[in-house]
Amino acid sequence: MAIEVNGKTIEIDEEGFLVDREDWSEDVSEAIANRDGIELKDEHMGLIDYFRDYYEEHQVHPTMHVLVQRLGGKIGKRFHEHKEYEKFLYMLFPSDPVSELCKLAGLPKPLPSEHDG
Amino acid sequence: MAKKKDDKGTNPGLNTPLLDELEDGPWPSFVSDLKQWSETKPQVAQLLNQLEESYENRWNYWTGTVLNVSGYGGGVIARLSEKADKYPDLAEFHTIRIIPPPGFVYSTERLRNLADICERHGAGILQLHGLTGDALALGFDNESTFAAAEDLMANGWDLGGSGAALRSLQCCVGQARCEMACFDTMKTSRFLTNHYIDFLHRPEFMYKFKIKISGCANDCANAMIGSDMPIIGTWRGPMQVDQEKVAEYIDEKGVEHVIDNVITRCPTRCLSLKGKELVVDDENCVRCMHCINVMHKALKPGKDQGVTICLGAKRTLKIGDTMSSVIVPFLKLETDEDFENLTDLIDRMWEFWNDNGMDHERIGEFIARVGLGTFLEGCGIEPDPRMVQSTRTSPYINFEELAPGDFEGEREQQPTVWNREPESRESSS
Ligand code: SF4
Ligand code: SF4
Repeated sequence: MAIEVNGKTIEIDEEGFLVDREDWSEDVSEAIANRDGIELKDEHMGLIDYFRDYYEEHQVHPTMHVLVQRLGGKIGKRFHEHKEYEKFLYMLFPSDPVSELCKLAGLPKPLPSEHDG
Repeated sequence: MAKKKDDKGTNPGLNTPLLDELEDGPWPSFVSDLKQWSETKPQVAQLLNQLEESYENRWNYWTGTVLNVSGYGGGVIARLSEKADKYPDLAEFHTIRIIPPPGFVYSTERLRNLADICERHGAGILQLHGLTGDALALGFDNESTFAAAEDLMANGWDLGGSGAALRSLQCCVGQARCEMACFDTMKTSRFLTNHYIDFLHRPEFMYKFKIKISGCANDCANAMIGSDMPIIGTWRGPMQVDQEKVAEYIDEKGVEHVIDNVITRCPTRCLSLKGKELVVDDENCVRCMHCINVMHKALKPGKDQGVTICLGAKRTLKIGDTMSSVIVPFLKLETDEDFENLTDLIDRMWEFWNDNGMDHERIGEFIARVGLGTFLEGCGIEPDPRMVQSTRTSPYINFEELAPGDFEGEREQQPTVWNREPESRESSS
């Protein structure tokens, strides 16, 4: 599969992850987002930058745990109130925020998490 | 019912000599069930043939991937077969977890509805219920997973938990059907499911967290071995004894029977007989339920009922298998305020664990690593002598010697160990 961005052909896999991560640019990101029916705004772009920086530093993408802990911070008094930040993330990326952000930030596809009993 | 061993089923596409062994014996067999079902659903025949190959080669041919229904971070266990060339219908064979009604009490109408949806979209195999506490529906490909999820939700079902999330809660039937129940297990299960539904659908914990709820220490929900946080019904004060019924029971069964089966089997030796009267040393009763189970007409849990909250059961990962141990010896669970207290406690424990836990660390392993003292301090819970890991094993110290003066009469001299300054937590961690 492939998409056209600024006259250049960019290879993606069937889910939309970049085949060559060097191909990433903001325009590519936007094209993939279009394909997934997401209109990129500042909030989206900020998170995509965060994902790229985090990956650069840790060689691993941020998990949902990291996002709600660090970016969500301490919303409200009680622990369960920090879920508000997660709701916000799901509003931006309804399908699966972490996987979608990895895709848009040109990171590898997240590995399946533990799903045992 | 199970068929005879030499009956290979009527589906000619099946060749499963090893699986056929599992049809032997008087008990029901999943092999017989699936064989019968394979006549309706061709993928089930492939499923059986692949399993046969697994048994033959002692190898598992399933791999996992990620598949999420929009808005959900879990609930679908995506499975792909490595033998898809040979068994094309198993190329995608996902499982959907569905939250069952509390206590697994379905109306037949709802159960039919569930079965119909699963048959319409998938392989029509239901597992009621997995250790996870969910109703599991098997055999969906990518497309039909989404279709089934939509259909399920339109019919009032919801997806269960998976991954590093709160898992679907599980409880015993409790007060709905059982006279032993010390609190309303089904209400508790429903309340916590609704209150924490976002934690169930959208994983973000260090690792999974399971809550199971049993109305009494008989623990029909398997909470003590199968959940991070068992909530077990118990009581304070004396148990209810109907001495007339005790006497009737003794007349019926004989005094030897009562001594052999009740008195001597009390784990803390707190029962005795005075003629035909049963004397209970309630202070030493550990609410194990044994005597009540045997003499259920004469004995009942006490009137002041509530729950004990434990923490820490899990299978082997960072440390070996563990059972839960007590974290809150007694909590009332009746009024709205009581339930508020419970969620407050859960919030604090989750917060401390998630702020300080390591990746893939269950809460029991976290406590084992940081120490119970640190954990209690972090969650603002008072230490209590009833918080013991394992009961009644020989201690290496003579407790009376070390105990404060008023414990076992006045001490004659101050033991040296007791005077030692406790090490500060910072230096030891
Ligand atoms: S755990 Fe106790 S209350 Fe619940 S069903 Fe079993 S015996 Fe009854
Ligand atoms: S409930 Fe258990 S500990 Fe209590 S008196 Fe009965 S047998 Fe003994």
